[in-house]
Amino acid sequence: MGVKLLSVDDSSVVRKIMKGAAEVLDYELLEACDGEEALVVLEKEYENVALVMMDWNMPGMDGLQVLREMKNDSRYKDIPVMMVTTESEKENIIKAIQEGAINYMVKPFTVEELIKNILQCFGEGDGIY
Amino acid sequence: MKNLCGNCFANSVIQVVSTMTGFDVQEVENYDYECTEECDIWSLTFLKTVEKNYVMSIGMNKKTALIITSYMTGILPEDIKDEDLRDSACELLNMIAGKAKACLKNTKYYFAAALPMAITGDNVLIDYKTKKIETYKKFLCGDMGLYFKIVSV
Repeated sequence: MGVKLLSVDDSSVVRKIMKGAAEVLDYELLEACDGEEALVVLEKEYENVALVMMDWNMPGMDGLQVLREMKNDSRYKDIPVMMVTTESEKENIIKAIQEGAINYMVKPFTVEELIKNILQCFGEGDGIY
Repeated sequence: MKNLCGNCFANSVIQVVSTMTGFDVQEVENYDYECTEECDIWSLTFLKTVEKNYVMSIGMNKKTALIITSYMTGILPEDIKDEDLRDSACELLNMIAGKAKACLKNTKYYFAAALPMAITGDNVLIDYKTKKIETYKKFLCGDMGLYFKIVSV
């Protein structure tokens, strides 16, 4: 079974951009439009998900809450999470890293930057964008 | 708001739209905001500062939204759905708010932003009772017009 990425974002356009990047890398993309749906997808797919790309501000449960839920669940706690968000303030970046995110990407971004950040999460990247 | 923040928001529009689409984006100098521009899609969000509330919006016609969304996603314009046009307008505005918010940190204009909404139709005009336009700018994204407005409410 190939590598699966999970994009959690309320924007369908952002998820389409993620899908394009995943296809370039020959990864499969799973999608969730909010925090609650992310947990439903993880329940079924957690053994196959290699990386979660998480928006912060979403209706209902926000990305930071989902990150906390994941890190408190033994099934999900080792799945790497990269925040992909418009929240660019230093305090928020620190907060997300302290909560367990392994990478933090600020919107807007180019597809090339997205691909480099995904690869970096797998130890293949060469810098934070 | 007009003087202190105008550049901050203008730079945010330019950086967000150019990064996400690859287009060269420029502000139109001395744009006369009294003239009525045809916008089929507006995305709006509420900004709350310590002192005042604002509505920030970005508008464009449908053809522009199609091309921008196509360049953002790599999907052909004919395969893009109307809901994607609304979503891309909202997401661009969300990103503009994020960049501007960081730029205005430690000023009295630092704000909290609501999640955006979209309004669509033929040549949509949004009227505000307050009539207090703080910023109204036109940008060229390639040769396509984008309209950016902040109104105090």
